Amino acid sequence: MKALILKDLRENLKAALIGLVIFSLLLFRSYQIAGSTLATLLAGAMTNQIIALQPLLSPNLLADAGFFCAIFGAALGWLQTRNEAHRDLWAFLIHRPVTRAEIFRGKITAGLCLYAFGAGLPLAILVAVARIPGHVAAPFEWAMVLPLVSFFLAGVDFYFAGMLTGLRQARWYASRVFGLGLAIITVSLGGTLPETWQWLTLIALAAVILAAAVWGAYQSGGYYRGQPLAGRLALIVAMGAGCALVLFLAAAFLFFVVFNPLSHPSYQYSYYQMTRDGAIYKATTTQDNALVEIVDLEGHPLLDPKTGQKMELKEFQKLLPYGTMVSTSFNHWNQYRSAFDTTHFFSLINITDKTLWYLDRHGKLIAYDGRTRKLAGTLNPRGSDGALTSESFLTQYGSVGYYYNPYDEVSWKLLATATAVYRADFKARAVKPVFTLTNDDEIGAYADVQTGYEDNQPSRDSFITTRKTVCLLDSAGRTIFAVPYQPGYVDYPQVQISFLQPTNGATANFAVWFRPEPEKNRKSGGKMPDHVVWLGPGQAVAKSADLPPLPVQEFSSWPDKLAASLLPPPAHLVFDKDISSPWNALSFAFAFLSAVIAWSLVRRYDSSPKAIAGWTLFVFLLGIAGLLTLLCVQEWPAREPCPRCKKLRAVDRELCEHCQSPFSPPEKNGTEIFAPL
Amino acid sequence: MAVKFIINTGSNTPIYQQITGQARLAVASGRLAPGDQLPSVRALAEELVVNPNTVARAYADLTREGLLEARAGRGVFITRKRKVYSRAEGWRRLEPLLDALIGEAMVLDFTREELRKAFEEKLGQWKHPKGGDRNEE
Amino acid sequence: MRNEASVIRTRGLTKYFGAKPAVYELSLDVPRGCVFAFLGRNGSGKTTTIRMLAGLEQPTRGTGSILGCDIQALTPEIRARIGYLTEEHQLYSWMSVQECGEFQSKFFANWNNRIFRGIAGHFGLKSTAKVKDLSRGERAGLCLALTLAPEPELLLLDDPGMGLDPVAHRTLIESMIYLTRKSDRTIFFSSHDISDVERVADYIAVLDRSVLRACCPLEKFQECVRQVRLRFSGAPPALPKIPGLLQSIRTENELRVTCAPYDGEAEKTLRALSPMEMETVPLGLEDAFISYLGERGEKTFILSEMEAQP
Repeated sequence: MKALILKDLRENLKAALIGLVIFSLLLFRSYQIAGSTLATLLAGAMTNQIIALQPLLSPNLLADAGFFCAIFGAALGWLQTRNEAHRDLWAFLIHRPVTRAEIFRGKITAGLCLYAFGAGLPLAILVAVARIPGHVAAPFEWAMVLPLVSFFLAGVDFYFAGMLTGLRQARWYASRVFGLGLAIITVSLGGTLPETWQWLTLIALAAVILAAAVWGAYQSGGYYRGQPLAGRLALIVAMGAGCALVLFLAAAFLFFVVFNPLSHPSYQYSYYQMTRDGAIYKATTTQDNALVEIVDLEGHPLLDPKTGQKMELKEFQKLLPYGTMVSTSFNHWNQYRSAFDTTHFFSLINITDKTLWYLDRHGKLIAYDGRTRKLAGTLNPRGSDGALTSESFLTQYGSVGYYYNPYDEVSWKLLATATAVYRADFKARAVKPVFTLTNDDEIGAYADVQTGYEDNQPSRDSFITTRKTVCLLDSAGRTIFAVPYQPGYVDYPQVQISFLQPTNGATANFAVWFRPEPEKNRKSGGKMPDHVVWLGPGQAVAKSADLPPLPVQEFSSWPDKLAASLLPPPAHLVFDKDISSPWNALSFAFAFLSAVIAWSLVRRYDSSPKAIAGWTLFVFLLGIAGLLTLLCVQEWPAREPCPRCKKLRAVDRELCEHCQSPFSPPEKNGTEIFAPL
Repeated sequence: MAVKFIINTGSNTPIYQQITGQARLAVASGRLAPGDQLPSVRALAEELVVNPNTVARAYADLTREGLLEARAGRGVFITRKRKVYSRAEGWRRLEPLLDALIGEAMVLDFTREELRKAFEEKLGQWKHPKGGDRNEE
Repeated sequence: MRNEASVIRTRGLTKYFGAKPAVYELSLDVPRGCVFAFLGRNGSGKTTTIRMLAGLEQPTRGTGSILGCDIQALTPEIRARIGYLTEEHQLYSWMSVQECGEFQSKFFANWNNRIFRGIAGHFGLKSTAKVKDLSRGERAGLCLALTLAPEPELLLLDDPGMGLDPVAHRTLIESMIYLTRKSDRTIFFSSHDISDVERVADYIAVLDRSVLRACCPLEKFQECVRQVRLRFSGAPPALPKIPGLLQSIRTENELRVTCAPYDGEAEKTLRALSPMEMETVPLGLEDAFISYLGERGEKTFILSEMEAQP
């Protein structure tokens, strides 16, 4: 078998080298782009790719890596099997005293080594280069390598899928590529699964399934029949995923291209909005953002004072106040979750004297020199006695709309730990507490809000929520206001503060808006109201209101639902949780019909009751996609009329399934010459 | 060995018959004398590039006719011709050949006299075959 | 198992491609130690049969066993004892002759390098020549060397002579004869070259449109296919139905009838036509084979009719 491995290595080395070169160039380019982000920032310009300061997390690089690993993996697997595409060369490979499984193992050993070489080596070099001090001016932790590693491992799925594509002897040529469906689905799910370990498990599972399908293909020469059961099941799962993906794309095509332009589905979406003077309005727009109406809470339409007509959306946007929103949480703040969620790792909070200050996900304030790109120091919170505490800063991940704005540059910032608010001075490289919680309360959310300019410098306040209160502090730590956190943070974690400019004799300067947790709200049927308080003179609660909940909107019309009903029932139930909905019934109907067709087809060609039952159940669960899988995968024998009972019988059974008579020997034509040998 | 066997594929005569025919002709014309050794089955098969079973069958036929005999450990040898065929059988074997010869001569427009003369000449050219040994049994 | 009388045995072996049978109900026994020729026209199912025997094609129904092992479950030990040569002589084009030899030798325990180098040398192959630079005949020689070097018990050869020049051809036949030295070696080969078959085959089997029509010793086939020439004073009469009739050719005064097998009943039927003369014409193997597999039916060849046409 070693000879086989060496032969495959030698045969496919060129492809691997080409891949290596291409990937190296891609990674180099992304690395350079990441470096230019630093230059942009140091020049004082804005960029929205802060995360690219760490090239390993740059979205460009990750996209390049993801696509490359997938394409390279699939190409390598496919090429490895196309080497023996000619049936006589396949015969040459197979006809030797080794088992098919050994040939399979030899091939994938060689292929995976080449994949690791072509895709893994450049990645390893990239990580090594990024780790060298003086190369990257951003924090590093080993968990940052996980997104790249995940894409690299996902490429292994594509490798096996590519092999399956090359090996399968399929009636419909296009169905050969369906094996890639499972790999594509697996990679795409990375964005929706909440935890990276879940994604990695799925990648590993898909790799096992696809590898089993390839193993089975080696056993039978690419045919469905003649494979051991494990291979057949793996093939069915892989093909099932592919067919489901195709069906999903077809439904999406129907949805977006065919139905949507025709049906002009229109839905309306209403939401509450507070204006600068503290008044709340309900705005309703269509899905294209065309305004339907803006009314106040009594239902009177808002009129533009300039024109006297109904207020337009653009004008309305100008009336919105400054503010910010935070999400209160005391658990798992700094956990790293999904590999796609790269921005969770760190945020850039300041650039002073060409030094970049980062707040990483562990709550550490770290500085990197922008010129030398080396670590320049850290700032840790100290107690009022000057001693280092063990606390870490709270990140602002929960606050909405945070981004680094170089145009609002000061050399200090307010940061919070669980018990205190600190002012970090980046010029002096010092941290000192400006506000400390006195009881055993804990800070649950923190955001800084710009409130204007003071001495030509932007002035900032801190907006914090604790278990019991919601406060606003000025830059020196003095409390501007503090209100009780009512309703409690458990049900209402999202808190918004708005800075008001009262007119018409009103005196409220601030409004605090409590929003319910979306999941809990959905579970209660959308009945939890938003709670708003206005603060009057002395910053006490002057007024409060509960906003009636807005109805959950229908977002699709019948053509879209028709397209969605092509999906298998379990998937459709996820979208439309109402069991009694007619669309769910339609989805079940499609699935039932497909199952009936499947049952009659399988019964006609295969006598095993296990196969009949298994396929019928499978097609019922997967609906039309399941039927498609059956048609792609099964190889039907021809049927001929039985000489005795005249009914059609499958040619691959020794006895007729209707009358049990065997096949007759060929008719003699009188010119036979048979003699004992 | 004085005789070179030549076989043709595609002829109307099966290969083994070609071999036996050539062997008989060689014995009759004296090119092969009793006591001469023929190559082994394997050697002849490899020389002629034919299946050894074919050679084996030819040798078996010749042995049955009394032309050949196998001596254990030494090989196959031509034997003294033994009468195997009856006179009538012999004429039966000869007659088609005479027909063929005369017929061909007529087609080629040879006269009877020319033919008769040619026959006598040929007969004289041949070494005297041991036809008289018919009486040895 | 090792000394079974049949090295290849099939019962009702059938293969359908789509709705068409390529091989239909093939039942055949190949004895040990023989040279077995498998004949038939192109597309009659020979390659499919050999591929099924080599375990590369799954039969639609029927069974087969090779060296005692089911063809749908060939074990590595059995594969080590079988040499398989395909029509196309396909090899990895980037390998050199020597690399091919080394590659194969790592897999077969009884690899005999003397044989490999002998045959390769016989075809004039340089060890550093790459497969892609070899001519068809040289590639065939290399494949032959690779197949014979492990000294297999059973050779499955699919049209081994295809595309070979006469010298290479002769080397191939010589190798096959050489192999028959060991009495337990069996050769099963398909061919279009009747002169090869005539030289080396002990038995032949003939496949006609996916059905086995003949399986017998070589001489028996040649004996059974006979041509009879009947001469008539006038125009020959219409030919009644004769079992075993292959072809007939009608000319002004003659009827030539080819039959397989030509037996007493056929002779009686022909005599009943009262010809002036009736004689049996011997057929060479090639002619016999062509008649056997050619188009059945009557051909007319009447000179006066032809001359009458403008």
